[in-house]
Amino acid sequence: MIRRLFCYTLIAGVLSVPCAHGQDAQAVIKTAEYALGMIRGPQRIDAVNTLEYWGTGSTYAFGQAYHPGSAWPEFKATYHASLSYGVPGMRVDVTRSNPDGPIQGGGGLPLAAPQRQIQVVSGRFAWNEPVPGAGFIAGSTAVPTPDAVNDRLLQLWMTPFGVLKMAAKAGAAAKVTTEAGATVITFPLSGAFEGISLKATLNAKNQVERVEARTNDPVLGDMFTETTYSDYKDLSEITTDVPFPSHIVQKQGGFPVLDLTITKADTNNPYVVFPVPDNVEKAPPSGVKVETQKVSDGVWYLTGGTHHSVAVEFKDYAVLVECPLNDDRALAVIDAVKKTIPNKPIRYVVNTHHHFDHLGGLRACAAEGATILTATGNKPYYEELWGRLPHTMKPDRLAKTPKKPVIEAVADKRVLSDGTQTLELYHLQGTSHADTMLIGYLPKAKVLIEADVYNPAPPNAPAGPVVKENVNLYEQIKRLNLDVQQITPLHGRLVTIADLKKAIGQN
Amino acid sequence: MKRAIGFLLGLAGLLTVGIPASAHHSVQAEFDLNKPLTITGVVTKVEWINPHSYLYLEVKDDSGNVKHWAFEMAGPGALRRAGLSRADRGGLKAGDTITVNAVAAKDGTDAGLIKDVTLPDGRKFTIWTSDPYAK
Amino acid sequence: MKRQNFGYLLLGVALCLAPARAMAQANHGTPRTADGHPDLHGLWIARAGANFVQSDDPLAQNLASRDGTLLNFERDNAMIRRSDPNKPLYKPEFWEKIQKLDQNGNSEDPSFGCMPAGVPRMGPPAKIVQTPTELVFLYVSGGAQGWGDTYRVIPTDGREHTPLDDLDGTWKGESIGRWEGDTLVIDSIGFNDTSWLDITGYFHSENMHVIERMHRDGDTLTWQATVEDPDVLIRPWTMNPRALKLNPDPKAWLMETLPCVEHDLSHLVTKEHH
Repeated sequence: MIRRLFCYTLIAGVLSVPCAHGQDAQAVIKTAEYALGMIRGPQRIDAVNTLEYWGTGSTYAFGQAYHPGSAWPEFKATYHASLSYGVPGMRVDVTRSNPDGPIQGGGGLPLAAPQRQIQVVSGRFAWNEPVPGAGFIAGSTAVPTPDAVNDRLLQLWMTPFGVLKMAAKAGAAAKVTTEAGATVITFPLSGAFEGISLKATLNAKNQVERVEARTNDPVLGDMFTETTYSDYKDLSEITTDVPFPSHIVQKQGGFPVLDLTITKADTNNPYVVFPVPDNVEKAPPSGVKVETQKVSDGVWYLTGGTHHSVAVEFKDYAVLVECPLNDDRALAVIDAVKKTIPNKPIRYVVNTHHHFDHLGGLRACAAEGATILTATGNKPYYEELWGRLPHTMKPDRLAKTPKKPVIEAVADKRVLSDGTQTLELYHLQGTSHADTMLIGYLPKAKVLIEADVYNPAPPNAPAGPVVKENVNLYEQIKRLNLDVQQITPLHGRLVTIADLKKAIGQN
Repeated sequence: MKRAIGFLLGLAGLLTVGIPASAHHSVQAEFDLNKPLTITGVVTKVEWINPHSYLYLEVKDDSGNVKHWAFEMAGPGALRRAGLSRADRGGLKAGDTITVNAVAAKDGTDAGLIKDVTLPDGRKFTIWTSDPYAK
Repeated sequence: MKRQNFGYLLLGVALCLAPARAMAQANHGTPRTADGHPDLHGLWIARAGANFVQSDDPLAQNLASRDGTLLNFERDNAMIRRSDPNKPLYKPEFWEKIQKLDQNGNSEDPSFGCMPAGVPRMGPPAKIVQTPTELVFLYVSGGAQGWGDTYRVIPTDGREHTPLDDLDGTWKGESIGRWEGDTLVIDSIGFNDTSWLDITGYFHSENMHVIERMHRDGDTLTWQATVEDPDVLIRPWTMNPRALKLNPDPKAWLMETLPCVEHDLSHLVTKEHH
């Protein structure tokens, strides 16, 4: 009798304990908000609106590794961010300088001098500014960057306080689970971020220790951004009981893009504002524009954006040098080639190197059916990326109409020639930008095609310090004995060999 | 969005409907709420001022050394609500020996924030802090 | 005021403030003066409903705070006040200055040093006396509204402003009032540059121009101020409106406020303030 009573009691006791997946997600979110000092006042409202913090460490240039598959190249950085969850807005003010040790890779390396970049998002507007508040300071201008709005806002919502605010906002759509003993909150975003979910992991103190997001990248497809927050401390001069992570690490595509030690934070709702400059408000939405400029017989320079291409006409086919950025740009460029060189298929597409801004449209060119010519080191890299990584969040042309890409490796030299036209491709030596760099030479037109190693300044710009990459390019031209008259740089403008000589101080 | 509106409404309730609460330095900028002290001394002066009134005590230690203590306390309205009659308040008069329970000043000076006072006849009164909503 | 009446008053305030319909009352119920304007005469009180948690801590008695502790009251209040999304847009060259003034408010805020709050920080008055040619605003109570008892006289006799160059620059400036329909519009110029607009380091220039609007609906008086100061602001700033209720007790007293003397600054060890 007693034993039965005991076992009934035991069963009842076990049944009355709430099971893990019956947990109320909003209650867990509230606990996490309390742990971060967000819930204040007798009304227990979320009182965190603005924040400001300063740190030092490293930033890394995403997609700009020296060697395909290596980590993103590092810059030393001092970092200052101010944000408002209410606006919503964020201003990230970073000064980068060259890393210690060997300088290899893209992203601007090596910098001639420490470089300051201020990136702002405010509501549905984004811009860069040379100094904080530039749009409202006489003599200073903000540069609209409409394409960056979502990425920058996402950074805001991936902060520990931001992710909890968004999780609370998700209401019943937020779910709580346990992974490896840790509490995990997953929830979908909405509006402009529809389709993106965030995942926040809490540490033993219920502080946000990791935030993961999956977004679309033209090269990597469904890409993970993972930010870890650790070592929470009160970093404010005026105590607010709001702990702040003193170590922040963000990874994208598996390698760090940010590694900071936060030295100071103002968590007492500091005065930070994000007024939108007039020219930013009135800026037209970015669209893809391709401008075609004939350089010589059968050679066209395709510009109109930030990354240029070159179209070359052969007897029975066309060759496109560079399919950059993303599907939109690539398809517009392919279109322009077809209009400029009608009735000839694009048989070959040359990819100059593996940096993501130059690689981003190559999948569209592969979908077009063109054979890809790229440096030897890239062939296994592209085949592995394109074979393994799904593009489900924003399927591009290749994902929608799958084709097995044909990639031919270029070791030191490859010549395309049909008697009417010749294009020579060389693996560029001596560059520290990328170890898979190809340059092109058209002997008939005496035109050199290059990416990133010589970006001419605007005409009439004052002379700057001599750039090592420019010197190396000139030396390689001499070494390969190329008779160059014009250069079609894939950044900048059409120039002559005399311009290159002037740039390196040789007149 | 709903949550943001809720937050803003809650905030609006705090900010728009009433006068802003008393703005002044925080008590914690000056006093250590976790460091209680008890002092018995003779009242020398009472200052009825804002933002807080002051009670000054002269304290003699065993060797006969005299120290001058200054205590922050609430205004006469708060004393009245604590139960001190008009006579008693006027009776915090110079010459009376009273005992004060307070929290100590952070800068180590002979100062404190009063929690309660015990009058010469033994009656003890808990003094409320300055209430931003009190009249 | 009798304790009992005070209690009913709080109840009335609590009941009236919650639903929006009280505010949406039409003009019937608003008394008028002989010249047809709304009569703003009366004792006006502003009091937010408070969530009191009974606390054992005598230092936190009667403070609306999370868990009833003084520590929470002060730290939470400091954060909550600054979380107000309605911020004036200063020119970028002043952003750091605002932050420095805010952080060092204990020594920088004139109000903390017993100086007047000035216009518009002092807000709406506790009592209004209205005549055909002027309104007299009487202010009491301490804190950010200014210490001690003060007043403003708002002429409504149609006079013009003194030329700005002939004004000395004071805490309250020179105010003139006029009626726009049923709204009292108060136009003020001639300020010093010492007062702040709020606790958060919001300084201004001597060229500030303040427009206040007051409107009575039944027993509710709303006040709102707009600050124009092109020397320091990117655009004019409209402050949060405040709503006051008429004190229904015709025998209510206007309480005197104790004068302010600054004794604490030399003993402050941190920068916390709220």
